[in-house]
Amino acid sequence: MRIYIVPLLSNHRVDKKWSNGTTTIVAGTGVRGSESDMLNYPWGIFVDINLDLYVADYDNNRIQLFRLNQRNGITVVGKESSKVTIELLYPTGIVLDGDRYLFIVDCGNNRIIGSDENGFRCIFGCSGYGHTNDKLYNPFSISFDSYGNIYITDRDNHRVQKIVKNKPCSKFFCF
Amino acid sequence: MIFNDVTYRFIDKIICFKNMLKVEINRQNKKIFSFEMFLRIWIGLFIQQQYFTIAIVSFNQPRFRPNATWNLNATTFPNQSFVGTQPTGIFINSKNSIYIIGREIDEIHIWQNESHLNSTKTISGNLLNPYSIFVTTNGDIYVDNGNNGRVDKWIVQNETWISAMNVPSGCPGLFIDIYENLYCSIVE
Repeated sequence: MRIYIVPLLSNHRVDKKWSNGTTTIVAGTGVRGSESDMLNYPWGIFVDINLDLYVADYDNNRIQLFRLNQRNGITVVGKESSKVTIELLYPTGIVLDGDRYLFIVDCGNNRIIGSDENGFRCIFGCSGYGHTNDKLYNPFSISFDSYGNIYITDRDNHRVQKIVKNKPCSKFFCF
Repeated sequence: MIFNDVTYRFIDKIICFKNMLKVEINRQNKKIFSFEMFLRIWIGLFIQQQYFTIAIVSFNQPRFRPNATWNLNATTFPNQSFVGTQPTGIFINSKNSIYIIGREIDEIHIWQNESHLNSTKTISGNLLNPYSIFVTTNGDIYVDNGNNGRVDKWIVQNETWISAMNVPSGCPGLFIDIYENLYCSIVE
């Protein structure tokens, strides 16, 4: 089995480790920073079926996309993204839905960001941190169930929260 | 109107059936719903449910309509005592089994098949402040054990732990791609 490693405070680069034990770098320069080829506390990661690597680049407040064999990352979400997206603060988690739209745990803002063809928006915890059922406090990671409900580890509230997807309703029924 | 999950699945099937019927009617240019048409759609639906919803990935990637919304009040899952004071890693597989780990518990808690009561399975390991968890399609579990210098793998068939790779510190992000490459993000 081939192994990739995404570091690192120590050397801030993305390594690719093969089963024979040799390690090659797939992203990062070895210096912590905010250039397109650098990372600064890489946190949650997601790799899609094209082997594109999405990194929640925590201290750079951005989501970096590293295409396969590309050492320069593209900022796909964050203040400095090429397209207008949304501002992030210390993102920790990232997943892609079935249409490859991003869902992000925006930890520093204690909220969940979703996206679709219309762009990025806050979908939960949009009014700041707290301990009630409509708020989060340092959320960490995110996962979908098959119905589209979202589960969040709400770390500093010491709980796991299930956010139920609303069903679109007709006049008489909700589907 | 309150439906349970089984009802939703049934409704999904009906909607799917309706859509496929529309396609079939257009394709055959017939207005009459024949037995052959029924059979064709039912087989199509069966194949779709059996094979296409079982994705090559082990987790769920649902599709949403534009501007989908989520309930603004979340429910706490499950009981707090099972996840410790700092739940960090969560992984839900395509069968909706939920795997949770936390910073100060050295166990994996698994709720199989959407059971929302007590933790249905617990796997103990020699884990030290784990951050993240990933489960493959065959049920093997990879867990960050970076504070012990490793990513550990629980082989479900033998019910044993092995070391999957060596790391310098904890991995807040752990991922296995479709070619079984293992990724770990390390922040120390």
